[in-house]
Amino acid sequence: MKMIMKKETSDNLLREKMDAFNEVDAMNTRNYQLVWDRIEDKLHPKNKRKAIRFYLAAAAMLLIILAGFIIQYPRENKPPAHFSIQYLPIEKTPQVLPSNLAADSFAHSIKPGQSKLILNNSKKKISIPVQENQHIGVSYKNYEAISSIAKPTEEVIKTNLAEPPVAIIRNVNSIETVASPKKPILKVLHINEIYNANAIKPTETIKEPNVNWLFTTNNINPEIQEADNNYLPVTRKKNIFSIPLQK
Amino acid sequence: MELKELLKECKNNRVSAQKCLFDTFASNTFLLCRRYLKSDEDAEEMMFNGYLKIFKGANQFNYSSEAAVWAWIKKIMVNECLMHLRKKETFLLSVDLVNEEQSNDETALEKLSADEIYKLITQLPIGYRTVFNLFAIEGYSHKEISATLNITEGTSKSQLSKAKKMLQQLISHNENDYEKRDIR
Repeated sequence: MKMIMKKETSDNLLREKMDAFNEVDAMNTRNYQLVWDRIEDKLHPKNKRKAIRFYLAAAAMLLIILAGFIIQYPRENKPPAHFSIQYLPIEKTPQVLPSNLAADSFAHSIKPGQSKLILNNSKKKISIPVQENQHIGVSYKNYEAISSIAKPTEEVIKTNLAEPPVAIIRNVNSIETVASPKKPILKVLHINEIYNANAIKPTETIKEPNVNWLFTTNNINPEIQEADNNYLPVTRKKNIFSIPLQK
Repeated sequence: MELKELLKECKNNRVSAQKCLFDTFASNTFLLCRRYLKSDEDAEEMMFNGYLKIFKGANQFNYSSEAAVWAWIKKIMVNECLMHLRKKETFLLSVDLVNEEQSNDETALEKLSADEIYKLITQLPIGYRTVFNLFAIEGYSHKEISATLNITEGTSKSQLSKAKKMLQQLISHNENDYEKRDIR
């Protein structure tokens, strides 16, 4: 009997000891966060989904803001300021074009050594082969460029003229060709004049008095100026204006 | 928040309350599971299973005292561990019905600290350990153990006896180690 009593007492003591040990929590150095995370995932999967959705939405918002910022942010090789012309509706285009439409600014897009005039705006990049004594017209309406060689015949003009450009830049001069005669290299280019083409009627030949001169710089080649009297735009082909070459 | 309130909120499936209850008992339940199982990973796995059952079955539990809450949690955890052992372990090989003579040094365990006992228990083979845990620590009778583990009462007694014997050996072995260390 005594043995049984003693044994029971011993077991009880052991039990109490272990319970106390559990409560004292002497070995509590473990991190149970992972276990809890699993439990939470299992019990409340929606919470996790909600959190994921929240973070995705936040990330999307950030991306949109960032994209907007990048689009707005001026790039280093931003097109010249004159391309604000795209904001001028055709009907509101004044007879005299805004002074910020500087001829020189077009010339900026031509680098020495290039044989192409590159016009940029946010939608398009147009490159036009440029030659000496070339006239270049720009249509604001379509934000496109016209390249031309001067002196189209009147007949061609009358039959092919569909839509005049809003402005005509002409007298691209000061072109120097160097080195190989087969492949002329444009060294310097300067656009001397810009016409406002609103005044030009489709069947009308541009005469000197009809033209509103916007920019006139020095060094106008008298030969070119003379030739311009016979100048008229344009034929339209696939939305790009061109003026037939005089043969 | 009191345990009673905590349980009430758990019944309403509130995450914060569940987390709080988990934090309160996490280390206790881990130690409990670890006493039965071989590795920390297994113990954590049983914790996971056990807490899922606790939170899902919280509605069926009626609060009477804090001790009752711990007893309830403990029971669930022990059952989880036993289920795991039944699936994984072939731990009750000995069917020795002989009542081995126990050492007179029955009180050897009493002299040890809880921490030391815990470490010794984890050194026991799974079969001894399970029966020892159930009988000596959880307070199951041999009848209950035999029903729970699907073994005979005799086997349960035998396992317990062997467990105690082994513990005593471990204790005396440790004591020798201590003495050697002291001599040095």
